[in-house]
Amino acid sequence: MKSQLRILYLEDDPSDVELVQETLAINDIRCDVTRVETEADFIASLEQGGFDLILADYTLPSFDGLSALKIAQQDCPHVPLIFVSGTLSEEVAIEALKIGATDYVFKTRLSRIVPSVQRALREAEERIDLSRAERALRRSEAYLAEAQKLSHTGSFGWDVSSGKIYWSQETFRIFEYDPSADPTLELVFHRTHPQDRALVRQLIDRVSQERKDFDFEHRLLMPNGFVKYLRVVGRPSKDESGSFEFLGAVTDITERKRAEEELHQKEASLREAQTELAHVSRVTTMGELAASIAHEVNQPLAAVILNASACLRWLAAQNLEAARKSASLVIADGHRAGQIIGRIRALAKKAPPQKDWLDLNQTIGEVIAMARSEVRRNHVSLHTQLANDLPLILGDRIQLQQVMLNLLINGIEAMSGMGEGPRELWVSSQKVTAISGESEEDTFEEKALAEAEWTHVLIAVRDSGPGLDPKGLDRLFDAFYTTKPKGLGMGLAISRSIIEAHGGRLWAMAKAARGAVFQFALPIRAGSLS
Amino acid sequence: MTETDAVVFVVDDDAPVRESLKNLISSVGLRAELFASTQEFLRSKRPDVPSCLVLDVRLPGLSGLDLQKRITEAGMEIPIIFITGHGDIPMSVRAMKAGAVEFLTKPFRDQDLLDAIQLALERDRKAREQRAAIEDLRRRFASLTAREREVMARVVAGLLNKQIGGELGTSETTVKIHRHQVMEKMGAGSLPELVRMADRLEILVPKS
Repeated sequence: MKSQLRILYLEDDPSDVELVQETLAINDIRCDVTRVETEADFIASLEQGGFDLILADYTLPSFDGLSALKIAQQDCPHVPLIFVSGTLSEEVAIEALKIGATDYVFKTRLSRIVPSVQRALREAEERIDLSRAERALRRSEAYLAEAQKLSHTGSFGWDVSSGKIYWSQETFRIFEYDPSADPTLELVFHRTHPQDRALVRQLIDRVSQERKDFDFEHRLLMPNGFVKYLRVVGRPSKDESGSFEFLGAVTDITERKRAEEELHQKEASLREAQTELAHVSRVTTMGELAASIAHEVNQPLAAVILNASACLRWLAAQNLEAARKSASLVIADGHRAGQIIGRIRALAKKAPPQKDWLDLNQTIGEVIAMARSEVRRNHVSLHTQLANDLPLILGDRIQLQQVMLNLLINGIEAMSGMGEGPRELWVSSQKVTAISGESEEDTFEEKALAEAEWTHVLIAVRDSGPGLDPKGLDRLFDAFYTTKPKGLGMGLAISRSIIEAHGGRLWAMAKAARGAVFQFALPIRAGSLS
Repeated sequence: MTETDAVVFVVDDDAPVRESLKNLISSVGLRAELFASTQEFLRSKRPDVPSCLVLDVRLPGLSGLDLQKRITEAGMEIPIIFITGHGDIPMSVRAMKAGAVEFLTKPFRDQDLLDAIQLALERDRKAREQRAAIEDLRRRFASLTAREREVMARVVAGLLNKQIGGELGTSETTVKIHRHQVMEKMGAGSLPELVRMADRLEILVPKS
């Protein structure tokens, strides 16, 4: 022993203490002894603590050894207690050892105290080590239980050949069985959702034969009707005795599933909204489209009538050559009308426009949300620059969404063919003032004016694509004019009709340094609505 | 001026429609000149003959209505017949108020267009005649001497020769000679005719 041993000695005779101390010293056990005689001193010393060993006389004038042992057992169970006594019957000695004394030594054979102390100290150390290990184990078990609780993951062990199953606390909780229950496969099947039961049986049969890793998901139907989603993962293992077992984990993934489902639902409803909008963009346009179509169909129709009328007049004037030419013009015009009708046949019916007070920034936000997947798919970075003080505009939300979506998609598609260079899309909103109100391009300007002087809200969509051919600028808004391989050529024509129906203007600019700018201005004053 | 001198200008961005308009106009013996845009029309050199403009409302760039405004602002006097793909009441009201002869919605009856063209040409012809007559009068008036103009102003105001002589400080005989010169140079056959001429020339009558 390297350090000095601290001994608490319950003894009324100081010379006995000296004797013991000397005996130990001879055997190279140096010690520091605190001698107490009364119960009060004994308890006080124990409370102070720091003793490695307690020695006690069995009979004392005011106290007795057994009581001291009991107190010591309670206060410091790891400190060994050895009785050192002159009068000790065998029964008493056995009783003392039963209660927890480490040893007993007769004063008459005091030399025996040396190995006794040595053994007691060794055992005490072992006990401390053990209890430390136990504490560590308990702590780690607590951590594990907590982790299982937090992660909704329970563990299990499954000895396939014996059918013995071990469940952790959390596994019991997940399956909602009392921890005292004996886990069996039947308990598992009992909780398994009826629709999944056959499948789970099949899976378990298979893994018990194949003895390979498994990982599957199924549902549980709880007694209260609640459905849980479970992920079960297992891997084969051999225990110490070499017998085969599965170790694994069951995770309650209900929350995740629900979140996923919700997300799916949201995505689905978003997709639905997109589809609906796309449909609406075909349907409601019909009102606006009707105007465009009327114009388009009217052109050849007007030509038919004019040429046919001219034909009659040429005939009356006996100018057969001119009459023949007129008749062939009629045929050409008729064909042209037929082609236009053929193109629009697929388009749907009319829905009346509904005008509400709109925050165009909000409308822009909605449209951006709808176009997000397109934006992402085409690796376009979208920027917005929205004025935060836009007045409300009286307009048809869906129709205006349609126009914005059309411009956004046009911009994205304009850039989709680009091999390199940044794909950027800017959407901006601002208040402007119309200076002449006529159809020149630069009739709107942004100036610091009094609120009442703002006349329009200007929405612009700019892309970083190849830009517009200034020569084609005039034709852009013609119905059935398209530069896209699969385009119908109606988008901009319809968009323009919609904006014009709102009393506004839609136009394109080719003069931007890079890319194209499409913008529209809507009047702030409701009175200017048509 | 004969009928065949007249020209109908057609501005429409749709080529087949343009051609059909020309075909119809030609079939009644009128000359048509075609333009695909308002800009093209404005840039063209137009013959100085009775004419009218058949104009599509909705045109790329400068619209038909914009052109009408430009023409009015520039003091060009040419009657306009609007044609449009889809009838729009506010638009037609605006066009008619600004002096359009007619506003036709496609498809329209050939006769309606031809009637409108005839009306427009008639208007232009009359306007041209009036302008020519006034030009003639101005030329004649310009050939008068200062004294003759003073005499004319007083004659048309209804003053007697004697009164005019008194006002101008000359003899009645001198006034008579001036008066005769005025009637001769202005080509007026009678006093009422001279008065009408003065009216059209907006000659102010000096206060006595």
